[in-house]
Amino acid sequence: MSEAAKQLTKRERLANKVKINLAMSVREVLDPIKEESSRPRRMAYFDRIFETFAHGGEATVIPRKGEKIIGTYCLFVPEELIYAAGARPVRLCSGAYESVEIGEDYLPEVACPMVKSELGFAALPVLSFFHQCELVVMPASCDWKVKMAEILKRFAPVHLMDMPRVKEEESSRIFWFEEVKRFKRQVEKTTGVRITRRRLKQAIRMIQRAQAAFHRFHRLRKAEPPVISGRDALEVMNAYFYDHAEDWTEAVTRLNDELETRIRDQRQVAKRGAARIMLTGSPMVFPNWKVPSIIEELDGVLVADEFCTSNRYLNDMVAVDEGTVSGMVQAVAERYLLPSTCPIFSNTIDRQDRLLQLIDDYRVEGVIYHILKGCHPYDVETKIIEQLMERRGIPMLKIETDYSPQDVEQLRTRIEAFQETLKGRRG
Amino acid sequence: MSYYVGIDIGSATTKVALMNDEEILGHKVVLTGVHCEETALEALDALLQQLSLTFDDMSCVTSTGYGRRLVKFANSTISEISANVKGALWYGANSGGQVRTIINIGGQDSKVIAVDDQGVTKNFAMNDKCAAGTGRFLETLARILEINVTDLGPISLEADVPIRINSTCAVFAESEIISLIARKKQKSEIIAGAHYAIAKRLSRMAKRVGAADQIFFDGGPALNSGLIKALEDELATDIYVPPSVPQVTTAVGAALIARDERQKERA
Repeated sequence: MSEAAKQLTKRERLANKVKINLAMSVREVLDPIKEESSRPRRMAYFDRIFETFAHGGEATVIPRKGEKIIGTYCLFVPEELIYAAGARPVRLCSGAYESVEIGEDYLPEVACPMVKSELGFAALPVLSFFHQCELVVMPASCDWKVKMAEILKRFAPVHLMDMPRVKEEESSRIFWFEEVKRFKRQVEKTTGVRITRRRLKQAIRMIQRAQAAFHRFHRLRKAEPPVISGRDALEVMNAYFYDHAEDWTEAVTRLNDELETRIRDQRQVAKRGAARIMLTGSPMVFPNWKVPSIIEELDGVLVADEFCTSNRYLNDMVAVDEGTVSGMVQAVAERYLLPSTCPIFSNTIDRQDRLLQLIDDYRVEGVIYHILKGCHPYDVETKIIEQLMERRGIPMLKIETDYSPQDVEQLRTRIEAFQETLKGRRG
Repeated sequence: MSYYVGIDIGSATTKVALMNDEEILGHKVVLTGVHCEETALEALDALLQQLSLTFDDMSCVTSTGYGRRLVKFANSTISEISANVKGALWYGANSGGQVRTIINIGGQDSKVIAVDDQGVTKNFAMNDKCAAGTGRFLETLARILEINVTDLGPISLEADVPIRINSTCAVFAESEIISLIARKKQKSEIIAGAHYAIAKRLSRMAKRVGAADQIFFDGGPALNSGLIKALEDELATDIYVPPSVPQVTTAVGAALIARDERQKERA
């Protein structure tokens, strides 16, 4: 056997190993959730999307006729422009432990598990949609992503979008607008489709409908007692990574209808008196439900989250009354920059306000602050958020972890004690 | 003609192999039972009878395995690590392949041995503290699922997606598996999950000893096709299992050592 052929076999074998283990993880996460009798029936739609991971991801993303797939990272990539060009955005942020080891061949030990996991999937043929992208768009958000863009070029055509770090200044706004315009040209080049006024307007309207469904979903999450679990809420939002915005909106609308009925019928998902917890910090992507699973298996209820992979995802609407393409592109660009609460920006004021708002809206009793090892932007904000919570009298538990299952038992003890503390404070 | 015997007394089974200067003439696998010396002698007698030989025809008997010192009629003893390496290399050479790593799963222990390109043991790791990931664990699994241990392999290969089993400790895994049965999970998926749990454990051991790609797998559980697949998947490489006789490699190794000893004396 030639050396090249041998290598290919080894690569395929490694991919197969990751595939099998990923399939087992998907089951491990979903099986117990699916066995919950109090679960909304319409979650089945979202389960199916993630169950496709077990079979190479071939049915995870099903492009519509003629749709080219454009991979994205973070939530700064204006998907309106991708849809307007008749292409399909797929967010490639990854929560799989199985591919971390592969990614470690390209990154230093201290890199966060998310970028390791993503590079692992880029390097090995495990999930097919990672390898079907005509273009991969990487915002220069955190330092890991900046360098990852360069490494990723070995596996796919990459477009790096530069990001300002001071989002309030006029110069930043202009800079970002230029970057979005450059991105638009790249999308047009990749797809061969010119983004016209009509196309862009349609795409913006479509995303606005998704945002409306998102906002209704989050209003329904406020019901007391809660009618949907935190893991299910994360799953619904995470499904947006892979689903067509239109199909997703339709599925969420049907789920919302069911949730409304459940509120009327008082069908709840949590035990009476469950500790009401909010999760925030480094993003969580399926199947990394490590912390949420512990919280909810211990009878706590995850009432809210503040993640770029979930609650932050579709939160900010585009104000579209501008009639020109340029005006609309600018409106789209603005939705991604100014309202963002991502810690890559210098000030944390918006994020602090947002957390306090969520605590009020969802009557949160305690906050669990999740830091992925190596995720410096969230780590560096911990102290500020800790002090904020202390001033507001909200208990906060900081958890630093990664995707490996090794610390589950230690985390369980800490989260159990935290929940007991929250209940003890009620008096 | 000179004849040589290797006896491998394991916790679950006793293996006897008989050879002349060139080739293996026969072997036998019996349950070890309580009195291992008697068991060994009976097995050897049966083998001798089969080959129309007598005990006096034997030039040298070497015993190995955890009960090796209990066989008083043996001329010498050797550790099962050395005997395993010897036997594996012999089978490996007969199949035309090189062996750089040996994975052995016994009744109550499992080991990974790394050998260099000259066939000298470089390093080895052994789990002999508990029944985790051993033949005993597979027997427990078969018992709980009320199936024959020989059916574990074929049934597990029917699984679509294996169920992750986090514990390979024979005690904890038992309760984990019972709860999976209570949750109406399919047998095939439970068994496949158990195989991957063992494979994962062994592949970690393999990593520790610095295992190379040419892998030889033996011991009773090497008869299990599902476990072979799980190991190949976890190690991301092909593994070689000696056809039909993965249990007797160590006994064959002991017989080879007996032969070499005598041949050296004669020389």
